[in-house]
Amino acid sequence: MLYIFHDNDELPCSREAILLHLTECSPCQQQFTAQDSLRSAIGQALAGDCAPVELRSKLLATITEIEIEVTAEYRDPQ
Amino acid sequence: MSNVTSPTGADERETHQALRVRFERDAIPLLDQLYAGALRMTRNPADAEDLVQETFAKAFRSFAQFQEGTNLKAWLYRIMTNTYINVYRKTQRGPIVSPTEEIEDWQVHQGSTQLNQELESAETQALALLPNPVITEAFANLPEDFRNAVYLADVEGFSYKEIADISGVPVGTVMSRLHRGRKALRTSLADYAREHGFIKAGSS
Repeated sequence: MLYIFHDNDELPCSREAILLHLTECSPCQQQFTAQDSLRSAIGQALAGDCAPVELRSKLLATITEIEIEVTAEYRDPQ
Repeated sequence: MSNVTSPTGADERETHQALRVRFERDAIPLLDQLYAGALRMTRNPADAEDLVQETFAKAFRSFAQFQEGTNLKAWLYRIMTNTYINVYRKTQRGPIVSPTEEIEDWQVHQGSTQLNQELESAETQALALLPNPVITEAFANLPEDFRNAVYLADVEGFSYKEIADISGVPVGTVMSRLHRGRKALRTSLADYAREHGFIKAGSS
């Protein structure tokens, strides 16, 4: 339940009901905080791989090729 | 929406130039994130590069069909996921999840006492302190469908609906995969933590 609340997605009951519960219930609060920490840790561990520098220039070159190919078709439709 | 039977080729070329400018402005900056996602999918930098190249090429070719204002990153991820399935999945390693994923899975209620909850919270906090390589390794060993769902939710922050669109499965399946994937990841991390003394053995 807490995960769906955190996911900000559709809940079977209102967000307000859960928020209210969280302010009153210490164990649930702890659980929410702990899950939040773990989720952040996972997110940070997995994110942030930068693309190799050459990949960007390869991509731009590919796009240029495609553009030339497509606009050539407009000039001489096959 | 390019109309190939337009009388003036010049108009079409101009439209396509505008398309290119917009693609460079909006899509290319997402390269790093798409690459990171590709790396998690393929688990191999060379394949990740190829996948990203194919994805962006396909995306550019059909960029006229993309509705400006909608989620471009989700659109790119959808193309990438489809490309991955069609091209790379034939040589995949690792366990495949059977297609019988029921929505009831995530609805299973785990009754817990207050004490259990507190112990669990303490354990969860400890897991958050594990080194990054440990987390990435545990993640890489998840079954592929679980892994992709967790990545799209917890790293990219897509909604269930967006993940469903990207993966081509119903929302219920997404929720099931997320629940089971997160649970499997947590179990795997907890096992490591216990073996290496981060948490006491004998806890739940």
